[in-house]
Amino acid sequence: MIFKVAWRNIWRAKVRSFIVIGSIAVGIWAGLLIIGFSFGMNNERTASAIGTTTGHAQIHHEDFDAEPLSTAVVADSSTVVALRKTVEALPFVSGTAQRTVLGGMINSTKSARAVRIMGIWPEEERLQTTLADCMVEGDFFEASGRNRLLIGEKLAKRLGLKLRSKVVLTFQDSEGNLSRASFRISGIYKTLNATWDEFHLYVHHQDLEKTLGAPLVHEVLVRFEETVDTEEKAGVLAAAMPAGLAVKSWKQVRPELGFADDMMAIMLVLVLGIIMMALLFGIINNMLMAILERRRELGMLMAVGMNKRKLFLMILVETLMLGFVGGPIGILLGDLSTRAMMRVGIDLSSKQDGLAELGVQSIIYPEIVPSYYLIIAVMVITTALIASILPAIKALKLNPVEAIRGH
Amino acid sequence: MFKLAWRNIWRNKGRSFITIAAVMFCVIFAVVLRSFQVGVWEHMVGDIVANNFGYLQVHQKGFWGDQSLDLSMDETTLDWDKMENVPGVRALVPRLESFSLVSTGESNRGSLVLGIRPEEELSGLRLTDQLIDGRLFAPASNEVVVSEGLAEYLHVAVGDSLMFLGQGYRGASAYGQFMVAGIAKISNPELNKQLVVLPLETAQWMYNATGLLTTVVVDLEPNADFAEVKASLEPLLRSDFELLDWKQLFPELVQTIEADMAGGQIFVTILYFIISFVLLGTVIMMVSEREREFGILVSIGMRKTTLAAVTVLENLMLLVGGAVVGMAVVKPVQFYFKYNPIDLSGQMKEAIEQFDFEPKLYTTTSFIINLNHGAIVFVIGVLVSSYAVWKIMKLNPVKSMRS
Amino acid sequence: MSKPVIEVKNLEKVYDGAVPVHAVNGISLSITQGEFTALKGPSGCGKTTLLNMLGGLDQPTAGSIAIGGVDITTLSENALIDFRLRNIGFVFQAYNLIPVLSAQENVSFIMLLQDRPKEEREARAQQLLEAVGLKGKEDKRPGQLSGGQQQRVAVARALASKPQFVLADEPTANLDSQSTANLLDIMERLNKEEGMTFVFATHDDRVIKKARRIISIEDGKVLSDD
Repeated sequence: MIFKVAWRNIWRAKVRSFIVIGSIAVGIWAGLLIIGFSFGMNNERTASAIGTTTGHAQIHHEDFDAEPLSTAVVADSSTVVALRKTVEALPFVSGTAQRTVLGGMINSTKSARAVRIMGIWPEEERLQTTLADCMVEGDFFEASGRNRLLIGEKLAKRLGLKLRSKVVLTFQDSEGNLSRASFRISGIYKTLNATWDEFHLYVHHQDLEKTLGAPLVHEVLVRFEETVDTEEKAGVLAAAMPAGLAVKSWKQVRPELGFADDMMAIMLVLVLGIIMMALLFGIINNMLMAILERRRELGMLMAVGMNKRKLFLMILVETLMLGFVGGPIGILLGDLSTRAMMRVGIDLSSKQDGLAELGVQSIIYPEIVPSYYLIIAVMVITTALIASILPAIKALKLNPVEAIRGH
Repeated sequence: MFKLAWRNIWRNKGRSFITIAAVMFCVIFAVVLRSFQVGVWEHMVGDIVANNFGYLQVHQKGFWGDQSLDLSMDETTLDWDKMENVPGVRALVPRLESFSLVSTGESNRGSLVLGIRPEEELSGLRLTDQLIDGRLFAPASNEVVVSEGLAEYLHVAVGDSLMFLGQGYRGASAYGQFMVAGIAKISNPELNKQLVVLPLETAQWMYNATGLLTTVVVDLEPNADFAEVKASLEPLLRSDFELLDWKQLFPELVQTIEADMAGGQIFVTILYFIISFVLLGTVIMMVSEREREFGILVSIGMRKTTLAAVTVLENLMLLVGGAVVGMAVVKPVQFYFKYNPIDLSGQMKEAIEQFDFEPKLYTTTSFIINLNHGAIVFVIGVLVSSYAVWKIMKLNPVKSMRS
Repeated sequence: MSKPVIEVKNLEKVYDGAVPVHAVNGISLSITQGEFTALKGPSGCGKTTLLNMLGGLDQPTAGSIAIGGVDITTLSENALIDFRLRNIGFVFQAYNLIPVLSAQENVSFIMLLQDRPKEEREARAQQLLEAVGLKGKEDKRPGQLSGGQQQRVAVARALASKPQFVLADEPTANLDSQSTANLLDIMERLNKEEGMTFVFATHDDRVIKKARRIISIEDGKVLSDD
């Protein structure tokens, strides 16, 4: 019956209760929108990076980062074939692609830039990454030709280059000598990450071999069936590799992405926590006033013999009820509005270039994250519990005699 | 009337306390968050702009878009004296910038090559303060200073020699061999990874661009307004020159700043919205508590408008007072972190550096933030008080005295 | 039938102040089972203070109060609350009931506090409400009942916990004469039929007329007792 009393007591002061319940609902609603938005932004960014440029894991020679790039190859071409078969035999791997990776410079008639030159095997690349879908102009090595180059849109703009422009690439060959070769731009690509686009060029591996001699494989990109437990799978992959090779998961290749995920989780909990603190004031205020209004009734109950524990419980339950009404409303509102926005997306194209620097797309589709519903529920309950303490203390301090008399 | 409002506040300490606490919480949080946000961006802009790239740059028209050495300016075609005399201009900094492949023979990297006169430079490129090894190059010599990140990548130390391979003015090839005189840590992380600095005259010689400059950076007096200075400088330049301010030089930076700030603003708005509910709650509480008293006052002759005014005043005093106290509490925090930023470490540090941001959290001491939030609280106070006003106007004295 | 339900010895209640006030100044009395007794006296005479102490709502500065043989002045706060629950019934001047509960629920509530099973609560509540003449009004909330009816529910509630006696503090003060008469009749009937002890604090003559024993209090002392 304590529940009955608590429930009915809420509706005694309708305006005040509505305001508190309303604030709880609004707070949760806002929190859910922020959550959906953040997840949408992050997941899209990560999926894009994994799908277009990074894959789930990469295999390099262990000195790849430290040494000048050209000599740190994974293995010679025949060993690489065997290596890739071993990797692809793992149950969670869906495919691999190999690349030549060189550091060098691109020179246009007007200007120059440092770049990373990725020599790819186009048919494989097509299977393992979505790079082929990112073409803005030109083609993905479909038309035949020689010394073809794919350049990022941002870099092309910077250097004033267009389709079919001629450039000179400078890079080190396998002996460490500087080589120059003339290339023609056969395609312009654009990923979500402008910083990537500004630094990476894609060429057909054959066009590099003319200068390099044999095909050099510096990097093997690995794709998993699912983007789940990627760290563990990378560990399994690493264990299967011979000595001298290092495996990096996508988080290690692009630490800023993993960081963004971790940071986001922390930030969201903080955001929710702060919203809850704001709500705390409102709830405490409401309950204090309720106690004040019901002084006489409370005094009567204490006089008649309601013990302290039950009195505390009564107030606690009433406070929780506020949460039990406001919470589900807030969650419902949040869920519905996120679903509505999922179809339309939130348009941030006015900030497009700035976002592209961070690898974020300009239209963000929020996501539903059910695990947070539980977190929110727990937080609301905790907040209500904490909020009930002060009013309960006040109530228990009442002197029944004075309370009944109305002092 | 003030006295009445003031005394009323002390009557119900509990309610006043909650109101003030709620406002303080909101204001403190909002101001701290915004201070850090604005502080980090201010610092970054200050770093990129004030210390390294300048608020204003003069180029041959089209240079910034193309980044081509061919679009250089003849030193003599600039009216140095007149430009220096424009109020707000502290100095004019000449530079020749281009790109070259920098090689040690074993490793190489494309790098930004900057020909400067260090003694005339912006604070970020004076180099004497940034040197971590070796010394500054001698003027017009074959010596260079390499940025820390580049030196690490190429495995070079003071005394080693570097080869430059690039494209000079009007297609001439530019090559040269130089000795590393010093290694410097540039404050801007992006520059730090790929910068070589050499004497202006040496650069001009190497690129076959004697007497030419790609850039003149306008260094401003500390409190000068770049927009005003820009307006004053424009007429002094030939029509085939361009004068760009930092927002035009780095539009993505501006957008990134705006996007980030917008996110913060949205969250703060949500918070204020929620707190408004709370404050409305306290007003409702007060009104119903005092219904009898209001009834009595009105029936003995107090005008409703006066009563309403006192009530509104009381609320505003509480809210704005809370806001002011909150901001006063925050002020020392603002000052502290402006000069002692939070150093981020570990994974967070690496990740942020990937974005070419400095991994430190600064605050700002700008008063505008304080004013903004004070105004917001004031407006909320007025809105929330209007409930009380409405109730008072509707008041039936007899009824309320009975309650 | 002459077992003392309440035994008071040398009760004193002193309030500190510039001049200490002796609200109750050495009262000894005993009340036996089945009494229908009024404590009478002008305002400020100490009868309310005395009643409060009898009900365990206030602690004396000196003296003892034994209810059913138990000295309540020695009980801890929690024990006292429990004691009141199980041994004393209260009818106050006003605000006896929980506004959001119906009459039946109000009467049930006190039995719920005693952890009595549901069937017993419902049956007894029904029976008691009938006994106070409110059959058919069990589902009404206090706001829907008249003042007199509310006090009758209060009586039913007071009896529901099967107390040793019922304390009534000015129960008729807010009622008109008709309601007062009804209420007093019911209380008298319950007293005669159930043997329930009633102790009133009142200055309402109508109550005093009905009482079989009148204890006059003045200046904290018993003036007369018959």
